[in-house]
Amino acid sequence: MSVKVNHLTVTPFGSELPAVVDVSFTLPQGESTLLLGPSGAGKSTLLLAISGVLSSLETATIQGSIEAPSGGMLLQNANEAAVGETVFRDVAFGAESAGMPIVDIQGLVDRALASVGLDQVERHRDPQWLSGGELQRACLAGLLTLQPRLLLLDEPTSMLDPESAAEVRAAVAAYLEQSGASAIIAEHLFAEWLPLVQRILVLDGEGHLIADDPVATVLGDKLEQLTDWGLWAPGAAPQKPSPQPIEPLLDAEPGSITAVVGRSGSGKTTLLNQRLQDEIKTNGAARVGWLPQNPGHSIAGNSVLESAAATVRQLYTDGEHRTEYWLRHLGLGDKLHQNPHELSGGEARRLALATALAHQPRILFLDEPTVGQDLLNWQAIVDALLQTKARGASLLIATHDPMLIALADEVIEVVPEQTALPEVEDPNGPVVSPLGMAATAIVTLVCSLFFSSLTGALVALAAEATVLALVLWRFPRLRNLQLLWPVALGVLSVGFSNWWLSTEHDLTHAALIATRVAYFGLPGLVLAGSISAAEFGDQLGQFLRLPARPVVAAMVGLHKAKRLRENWSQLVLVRQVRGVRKKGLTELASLVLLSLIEATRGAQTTAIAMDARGFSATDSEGRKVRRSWSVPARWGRYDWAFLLGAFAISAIGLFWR
Amino acid sequence: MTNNNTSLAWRGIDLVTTAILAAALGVAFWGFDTFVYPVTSTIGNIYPPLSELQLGVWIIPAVLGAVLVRKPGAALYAELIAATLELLLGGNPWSWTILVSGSLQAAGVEIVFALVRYRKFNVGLAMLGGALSAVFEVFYEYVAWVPDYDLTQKLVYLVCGVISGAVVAGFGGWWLVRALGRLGVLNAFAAGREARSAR
Repeated sequence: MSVKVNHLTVTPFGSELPAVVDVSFTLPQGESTLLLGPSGAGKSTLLLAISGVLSSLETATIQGSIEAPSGGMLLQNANEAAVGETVFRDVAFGAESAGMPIVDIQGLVDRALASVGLDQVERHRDPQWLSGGELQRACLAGLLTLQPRLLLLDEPTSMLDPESAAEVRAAVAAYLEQSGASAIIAEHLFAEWLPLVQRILVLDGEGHLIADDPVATVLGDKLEQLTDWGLWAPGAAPQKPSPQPIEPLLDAEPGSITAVVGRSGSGKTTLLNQRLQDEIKTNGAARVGWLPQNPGHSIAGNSVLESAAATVRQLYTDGEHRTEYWLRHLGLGDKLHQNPHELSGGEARRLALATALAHQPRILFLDEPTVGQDLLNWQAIVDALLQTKARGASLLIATHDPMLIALADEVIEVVPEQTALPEVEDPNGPVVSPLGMAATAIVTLVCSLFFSSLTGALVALAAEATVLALVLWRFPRLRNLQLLWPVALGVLSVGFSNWWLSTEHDLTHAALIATRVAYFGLPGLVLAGSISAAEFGDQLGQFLRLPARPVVAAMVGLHKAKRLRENWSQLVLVRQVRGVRKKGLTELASLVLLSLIEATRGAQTTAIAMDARGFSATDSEGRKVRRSWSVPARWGRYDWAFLLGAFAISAIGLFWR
Repeated sequence: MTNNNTSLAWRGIDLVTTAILAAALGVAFWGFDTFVYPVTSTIGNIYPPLSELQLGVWIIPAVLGAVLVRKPGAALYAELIAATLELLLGGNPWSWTILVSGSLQAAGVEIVFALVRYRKFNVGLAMLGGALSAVFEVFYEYVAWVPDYDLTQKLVYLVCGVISGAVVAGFGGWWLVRALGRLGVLNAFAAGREARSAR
């Protein structure tokens, strides 16, 4: 089946102008094409529309028609696209969406992982421990389980080092070769993809299709145009940078550029952040500029200019002027008064770089300043870095960009430490399953409401505490005793207030209520830290037959929430470095709001990634496809033991006279 | 502010955004339970019913879910996810009863928006929903947590809870959706687009 797009116009909700305007083309079965255009040309929107994700997301008005075989879509940021708690669950997600039987999924996952060269990878590991290239290949494997006839690739290698990028390309090439499927590939640095494609589509800056021709024709006619737009056409090279400092020198001596290099995911960011924190500890934050890994973290204001100038304004009276210079230099001149949260990924990174440069810090810590940028912006960024160096600043730059590395005075190579990986969770899970724990807790809760004698309640509590102590002694990894003190405090508070505020001031009865609270609080509490959200989801879906889509989305939400605490500490650090902290509760409120913004933006990408793997797919009659489960829900002997134990111990409290 | 979504069926992005935002609030609860609540509840022992002025904090996800998604079940879905996360992280005195509280804390909001057939989502209804949820939660707490309070204290307890439910959860949850919408990160939602065009 070929791809036929007919007079397609897409206008995202909340935008006045369409992102894609009246696009028509046909891609014959088995042929592949590049999709080129300047930043913001609507390439992602077109790919989302063809994949069908846009119609299931329902976030844009779509006119025109699209005929395409069911396709899998690979996104730029594999970290955000990964939704599974383990590699296995992540790769299996698409097969679950398609309702594949559980017995087939294991084999499908094995074959898909083997076909992208990941047969050695540990399936029970959290995908975030894979390197960047491995993670992107795992995402590709997740598409290949369904043998798509069409692959849609949205800058899948732009965040990867050259070696990892080559591995991803090789995996795509192997699949196209073996299956005869088609591919539509959007990428700025496109020369390496040319051997895989027969045709090239070109969108202009406003979303009009201006070329749909064989490769040779486009490269013959349009090469200059593509280079002007800043695409990394074959043979395109940046001009010689102009390191003329425009700002007063800090030192007579020029500074230095140190590149921190290593494969995607090898720990460059960790090293950079470590050095940053050491610097702040020794010399304070005033002399430091930082471009964090997530550029959105350094936003502090309601417009691009206000956000970038928030630090420098406190230091110099002409702060805004300096900031404006850098923003214009980095191609954000026409966005000065825009909302910084609505910038594209590449723009957000340039804003964060301008933010880091504006107050003329002596030491700069920059995390991947050039990633995903087109040629023109690359040039502007590198100019800015060289100017800053000439001014006397030292720059520590984590990067996988070979051309940037070539400009460094010194190179530090980071080799991943294999031993740094945490132990893989026991595939058989913790002692008792989440649902077993829930059932136990409900039994203790309901029974405790009928405890009538304080002595009986105390004996039951003692028995329960003894059993739990034995469990913790046997399974040390479940120990999480710092969780105990809020409970102890709660118990005391309940007892005290029930005594003091009652009519009869009956100490015995107040103590009984407090004992009850301790009795039903203890079991869940001791095991709280060890529960897997994914396993809970398996049980809710398979045993309790709760609807699969809400349960799966909840599992993903709970899983993603783990990263929020990391994000939080990054936000705190950025605001310290930038000197934009407010006082007390106002700062706390700002941090909460910034975290929620971050979470919301991440949620959109995750929703796209899930719909790209069939999460909202419908059958021919328009009904949602029934999901299957790739991992069987577990109910083991410990679950029985806990449940029966809860009844037995509660009986003491219930029948004590 | 009326609902211009034609369908009451949930899109993938409704589920995922609600789940992730609710989980984020769950993490915030964990921070609140761990660092703030022990202090406030200790101070609250001067006059314990006053502690109930904090109740609204835990009802925020229900209001946020309903006002953001504008579909049946959104309040319950958001509140249960936030409660589950709080439970999984541990460090609070409520353990699994959190899920009972979570259901009740969503029920009031859900009922209020169901009564207007999920067509209106203004701040008044949000505050009414928060207040009704607080009533349900307080009656449950009468049974499980403060059965020995005398009648006067129980009334003060109720009033404190209802005020907090209306102001902190009702107004606060509605304000949060509006704030996020104005920042342009909720353009995929009718609530977000309305807030954005009103800025």
